[in-house]
Amino acid sequence: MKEMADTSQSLKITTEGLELQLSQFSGPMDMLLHMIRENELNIADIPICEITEAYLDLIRKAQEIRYDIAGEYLVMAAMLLYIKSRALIPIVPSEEDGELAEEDPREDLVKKLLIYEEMQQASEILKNNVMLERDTFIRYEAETLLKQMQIQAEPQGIQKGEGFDLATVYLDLMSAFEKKMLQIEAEPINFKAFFTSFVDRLQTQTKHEYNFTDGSWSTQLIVLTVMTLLELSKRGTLNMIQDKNFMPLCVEILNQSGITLDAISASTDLDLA
Amino acid sequence: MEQEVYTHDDDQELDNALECILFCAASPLSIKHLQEMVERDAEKVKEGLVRLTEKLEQPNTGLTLCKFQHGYQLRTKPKYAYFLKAFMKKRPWRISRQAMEVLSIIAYRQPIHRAAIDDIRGVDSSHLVHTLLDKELIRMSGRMEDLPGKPICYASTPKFLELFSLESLKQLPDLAEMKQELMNETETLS
Repeated sequence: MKEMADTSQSLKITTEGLELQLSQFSGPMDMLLHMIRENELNIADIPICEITEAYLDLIRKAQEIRYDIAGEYLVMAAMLLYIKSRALIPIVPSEEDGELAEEDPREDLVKKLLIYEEMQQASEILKNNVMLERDTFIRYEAETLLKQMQIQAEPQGIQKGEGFDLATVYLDLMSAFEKKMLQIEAEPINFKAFFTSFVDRLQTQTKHEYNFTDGSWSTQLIVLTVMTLLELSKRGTLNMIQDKNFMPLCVEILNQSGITLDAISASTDLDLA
Repeated sequence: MEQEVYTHDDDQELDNALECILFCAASPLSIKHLQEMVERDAEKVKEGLVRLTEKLEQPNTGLTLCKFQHGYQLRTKPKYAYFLKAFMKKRPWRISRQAMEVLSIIAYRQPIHRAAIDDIRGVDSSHLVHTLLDKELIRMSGRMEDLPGKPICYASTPKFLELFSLESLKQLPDLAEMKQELMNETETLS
């Protein structure tokens, strides 16, 4: 069919891939509508056989189909094929009641196409309406005048509602909470005092145990301690052993003289002098 | 400076007071709220709003009074949008063609559940529905009790009406009229 060949021309399907072309359409229905419009067909009476051919042709022309994107298009192709196959076989009324066993699947498609076309036109018209912040503007910032004037909302009393209303109210309340800024206060730590006592403690014994999970350690202290220990072990001044996850960390000092404030400050980039 | 007093029995005064209040308000104000503010009864306020609308229709002002189901709002006239676009820092609403399709489907067929939207469009619409929910143009309005799984259904919000300057859903473009126009067009074409 000559007209249908024209369709694929106008759709500019190339071998570069279906996904490029698909982005022009918002879905297989959109693509079908486009084909119908291009060929000036009557939606209510589409020549299913031809349109199926053209549709399959478009999909076939895309050498590399990305199934995640093209899936819905393939579903449409399958449906068109099904409708076509139905159209090719004669309809035999079933013997029991003389009615058709199933309703015409084409009817369903046509119905959807008509609705969809209608919605597309409506959305075009809507978009051309006087639109806020494009064609017309209102006052901003001045938040709700009502709140400032403390006018009470209409008396509501106890309201009858469904679980859904409750959820809506809850979400409203939560969004009001979420707007509050979360403030995290810095923990005051005297680094110099910390490291001095740390060094003192390390130098008194050769074996130490650190139980970070006993609840007395703040995150910051854990980070500082572990970093310092890692730095010292890198220099070969101590060994660290932990039996299992979350078990106390056992530290064995190998070289007492290696433990100095200098070595420790190297691990934290802090000037402790 | 001696302050002049608002006289309660003067229509001119009422109109001016309404204009002042609407000028300061950021969101649409209902008759009930206006009534409390100007200390007059609903009838008087309605009359005042009609006079104010007429007054603003004159070419000697840049504002217009927009009426919604849920209230009244002063807005700038569309012909001056050019000046405001540059001045307002806010970016205009960006709604993609796909999102507009979903929005129209919901506006015309509310309450509607997602599977029904997908069915019309032939393609998954979940992320578009979420975007529209985020923009508060649609809301979850309940569940389809008679369908399996009781899916959530969606409806349009007052913000949707405000965005497209629609007084109520009744003002949505008439589908029957649209179809008629389209038929006429195709007839003239053929």
